[in-house]
Amino acid sequence: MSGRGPDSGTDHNRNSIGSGGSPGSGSGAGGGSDADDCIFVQTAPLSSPVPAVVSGLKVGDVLEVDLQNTPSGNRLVVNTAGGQAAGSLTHPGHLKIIQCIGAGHIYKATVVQKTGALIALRIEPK
Amino acid sequence: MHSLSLSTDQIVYALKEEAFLELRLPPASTGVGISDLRWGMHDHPKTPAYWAAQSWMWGLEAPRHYKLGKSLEDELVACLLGGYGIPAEVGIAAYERIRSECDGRYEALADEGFVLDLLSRPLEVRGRKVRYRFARQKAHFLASSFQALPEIDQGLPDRALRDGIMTLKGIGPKTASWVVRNWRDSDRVAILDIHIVRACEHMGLFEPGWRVERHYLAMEEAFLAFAEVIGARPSLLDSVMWNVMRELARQPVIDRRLEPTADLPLFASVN
Repeated sequence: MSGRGPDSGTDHNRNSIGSGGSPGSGSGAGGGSDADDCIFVQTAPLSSPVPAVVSGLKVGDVLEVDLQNTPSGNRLVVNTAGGQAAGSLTHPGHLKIIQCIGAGHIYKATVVQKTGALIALRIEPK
Repeated sequence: MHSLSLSTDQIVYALKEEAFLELRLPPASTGVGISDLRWGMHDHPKTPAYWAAQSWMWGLEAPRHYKLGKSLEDELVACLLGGYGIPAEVGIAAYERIRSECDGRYEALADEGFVLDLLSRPLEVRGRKVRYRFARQKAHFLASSFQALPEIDQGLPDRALRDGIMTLKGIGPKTASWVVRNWRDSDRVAILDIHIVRACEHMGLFEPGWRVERHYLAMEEAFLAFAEVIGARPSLLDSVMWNVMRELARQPVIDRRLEPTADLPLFASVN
């Protein structure tokens, strides 16, 4: 590979998953953070649900979506209005949300489904 | 919220048609079986658990999202026109033009002048006219490749086919592996570009000093072994890593206070 210019590079084009959106997780990773790109609705499960907090949630409750730094990168967390951590977001569209929050957009997550301790959220601009 | 989950199985959830699906992963503090590497938290970027979870979710949603064409020839054109210094959307636009103009008559691509003419005309990308940067060089590589391609047995096993494609002018192991992965959905090869290398280096999968230019096969083996231990298809894991690492590189650093328990070292023993 050494010295074979076109193959020694640092990037190659590939399609991004979910561009244009797909059921279940809304728009996928990829793309920029233009204003229009950041206006979307995604539906996603709550990851790492915190039992003590989730037990008090009901359909229609509105939660806050926020970023948290970790040693390896940004993590997308979901908090109650009171600041309690309810869980996180890891669905394929989560990187898009991180990108848009970084660009100044704010998102809310509404509980749209609750099956036992499992929560489905609708995520959209606040 | 982390202290409890460090020692218990991690359950990853996905939604499909309003039903919850789940993937159970080992506790974050458990070793994956490679050196001292731990699984880590599945919602922390770049941990083994994160790659396992993301590969599983992307596999549910769009398992073959990386495919660019419908034939080996299509993939060869697409992968050769992408690569270093070519923005993804420009490479795709050039590929679409060539595919449209040759309309399945791939023998036409053995004519360097024909290819150069197609690549020299401005492309339209997001409503703007743009030039393809390496038109002359890529036209030469593409024409040379299509002159030699009939000599390659397309029925060869994945790695032998990759080796055959590497004999084409301007194509090294990365591009050849890319073609084979896309065309065959191959799990026998790895496309070791900078994003994959960085992700693997972050987890300590490569020996210090390994370089893709000299140690491609050893690095490929390490990548494939990692995919196996986390239960991910290499074809999918490679694409997921590429997309995620590219996105992470674009993300701004945002100052947020860390929770004290969120900092689990990725390695069991830190000297």
